[in-house]
Amino acid sequence: MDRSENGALLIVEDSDEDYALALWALRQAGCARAIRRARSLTEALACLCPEHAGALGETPLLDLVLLDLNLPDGTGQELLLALRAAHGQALPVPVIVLTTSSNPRDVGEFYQLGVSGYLVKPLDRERFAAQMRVVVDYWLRTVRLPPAFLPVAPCPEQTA
Amino acid sequence: MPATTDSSNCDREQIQFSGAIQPHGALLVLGETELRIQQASANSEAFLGLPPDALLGQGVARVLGKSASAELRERLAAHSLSAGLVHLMTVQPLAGTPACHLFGHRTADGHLLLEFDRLDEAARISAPDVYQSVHAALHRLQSAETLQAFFDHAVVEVRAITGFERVMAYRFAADGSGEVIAESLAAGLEPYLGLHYPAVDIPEPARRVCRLSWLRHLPDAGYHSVPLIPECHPETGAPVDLSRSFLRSVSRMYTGYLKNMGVKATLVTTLLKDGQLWGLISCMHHSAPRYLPFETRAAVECLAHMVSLLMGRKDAEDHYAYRLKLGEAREQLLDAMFQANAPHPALRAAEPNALSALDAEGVALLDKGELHRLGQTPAEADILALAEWLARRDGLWFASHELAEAYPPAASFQPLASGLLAVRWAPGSPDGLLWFRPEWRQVVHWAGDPNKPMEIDDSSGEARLMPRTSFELWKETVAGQSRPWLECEIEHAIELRHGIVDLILRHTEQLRRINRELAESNLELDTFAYAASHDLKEPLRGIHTSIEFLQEEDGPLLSSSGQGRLATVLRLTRRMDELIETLLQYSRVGRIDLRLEAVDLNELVVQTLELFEPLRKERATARMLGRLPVVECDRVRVGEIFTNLISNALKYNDREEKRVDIGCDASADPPVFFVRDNGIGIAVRQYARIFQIFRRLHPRDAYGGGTGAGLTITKKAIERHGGQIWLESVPGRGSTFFFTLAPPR
Repeated sequence: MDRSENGALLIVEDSDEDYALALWALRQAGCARAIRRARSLTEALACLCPEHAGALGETPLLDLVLLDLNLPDGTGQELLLALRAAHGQALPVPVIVLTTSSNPRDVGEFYQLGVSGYLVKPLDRERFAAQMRVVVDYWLRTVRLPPAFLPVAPCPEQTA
Repeated sequence: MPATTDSSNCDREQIQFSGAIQPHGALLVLGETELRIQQASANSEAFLGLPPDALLGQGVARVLGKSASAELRERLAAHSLSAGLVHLMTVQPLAGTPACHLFGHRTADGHLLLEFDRLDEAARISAPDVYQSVHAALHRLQSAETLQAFFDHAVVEVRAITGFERVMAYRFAADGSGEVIAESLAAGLEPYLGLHYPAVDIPEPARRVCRLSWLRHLPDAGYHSVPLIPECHPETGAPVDLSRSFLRSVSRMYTGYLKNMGVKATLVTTLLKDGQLWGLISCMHHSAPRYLPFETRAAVECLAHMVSLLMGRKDAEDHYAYRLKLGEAREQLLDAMFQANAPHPALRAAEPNALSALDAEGVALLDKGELHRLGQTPAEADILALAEWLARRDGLWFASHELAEAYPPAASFQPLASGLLAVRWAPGSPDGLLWFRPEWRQVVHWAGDPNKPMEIDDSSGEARLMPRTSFELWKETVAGQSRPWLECEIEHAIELRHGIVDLILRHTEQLRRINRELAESNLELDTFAYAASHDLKEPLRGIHTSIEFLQEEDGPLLSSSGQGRLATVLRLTRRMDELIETLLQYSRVGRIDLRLEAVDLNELVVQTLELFEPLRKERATARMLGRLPVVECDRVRVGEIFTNLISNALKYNDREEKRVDIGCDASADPPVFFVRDNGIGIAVRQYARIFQIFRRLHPRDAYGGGTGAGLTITKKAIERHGGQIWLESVPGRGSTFFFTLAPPR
């Protein structure tokens, strides 16, 4: 069990099925963190970048971002570039990419942009659950993270 | 042998200061102002009725009378006499000797020379006819197609007008040597056509005389010269310059030469081009001395003038025509090269090739270190060494008609290639074109009988002055030389080089562009394949996950057949996922660049076999027969090839004892590898099908299932190495797959 004073997870995911699957897999992995969701590039930028900030409100600290590359209004690259531009050419919080695309050029490019991991989603939910377990074990229970990132705008509430 | 002759002492014989004339006319040297006679030819009495001693110191009126002298003064005032000999008038000497033509000119040292030539009444009467024929001759000359045809006509016309038995047209080369380029002959005379003679046969004084006077006549080669009285000019004490005199006594060398040739009379006119001595028209009479009267000489001189004028144009036209032909051949050749996208058509046997239109016997093309030859060329090794030598020189073109002078090793193939015209594509590289011209003396012949004995009375030391000896001597002087390259030929080569270099650049640029486009399209295909597989897999994952949730949440509520259907959907989505993954891999095999390195296949196969260790439990043995070679290949791909073939060998095998043998026939080139099994075998009619993608010969889950793309990918990986795969199989006994990893040799 995680300590509750730890920061939340932000999942950037437009598909409801995949979001549900991710929540399920995180539960399977015993992750009890607060979960936030951004449905689009715009939403993600609004809570992560000052110049895109919306109305200020109660915002939880973030420890980790899970980023699905399929976004309705832009690409994962755009999001990362905007984040880096707003935070001195670095990512303010560890980002893990979740995708079905295995193009080595994409993989390379995302690591260049500073992501902390790149996962290719398998077909079976069991295998996906196993992957998420490794992510949770490593990122939320093993390594020491930097101070949690305070988003500039409230991220949308968890919808589960 | 032409106008005058020489052997080297002739350059010293000052023919213009001979102080003597020929006997067919008389000459007076006068002081300009008083017109007083200062010198007279010893034969003055025969023409003017008074011996020299009666003339010296007298005014010219003493010879011509008052009125004629007055007329002469007027004529002298009217003409500029310093440019050359002028026909002033006809005169009747006071002494009652026959009438004469009177010619005059001023020498460079300011003396006035008067020359008397007996008037020929018959010639005077027929003069209009002669001009008529000159006129007609000019007309015919103008219509000649080539310079050669032009001179062939010219010598015929001159022979018709002069009645001389032999008329030749000579042409001087840049080095001073000469060549008989056209000849018209009376029957029974030995032809001199094609004869070349060395530069020493026409010494500088003779050339100078040729430039100064249009026509020289020697009516009787056996004449006795007539001295001037006194021999030297009384005021200057020096001999008078007779350069422009038409009576001037000729060199003894010349008369000796003529005697050797059996010539009794000559008439020589000068051919000038752009003020330069270009050649001569030389008339010879063999049977007897022959004197041409003034009217006929004037006609011939006029013809020579016209020939000179026309010739310059014909010569230019000739070169122009040659230039055009070269240009045309070049266009066609470059066109052919452009079609072929390479310079090699230059050397094909069919026209157009690099020898089309260009006057050379052989050509070689050195292209990317490969040598191609056409026609008569030196040996391959000689050309390669020559090309290397050229590559070390500055300049991208080279022309020489004496190659061995510049490049001594060329002496060894001198007869074949004394002349070289070469162009190279780029500095420092030997690649280019080389044209060869044979040694001149090997290919030049004259029309004379080469077997005629060369016997001559040598008592006078004049044995050398014969056409045959001239020809032999000329051959010696041009040893190691080819005919020189013309400017338009060098231009042609340089132009051709431009075209070829453009072609090569364009070709390189094209290749570069194609490669770039290929790389881009490969990248696009790659991106497309990944995107497609990703886009296909997304909904598939959605379906799969949804079914899994459905099974979990509502599974117990479903009938057993309903549960079965869910299981089927899951199985099908899994299979679909595998197919998409395989398709992606397959589409990439053909595009991935191979990383070629020397790979020890023994090591590689041993590592591959380790993957199959767990199969030992199933009583399967895979072993290597003998050693495998080290080959240049992509380690990862070849590992996959072996893995796939070995796993098939074990998979399609229902024996108690499964056996796989891996080996190689290293005696073949390239080596042939094989993977042999004792499995179920494949029927011959199925050989082709097993390599088709997603084609399986068995029920879907028999023999461990699979997508049916393994052999397809394997075949593609082999073909990427330039190799081939084939098999031999007996159903029920086993199969052997053979493959190579390099293109067939």
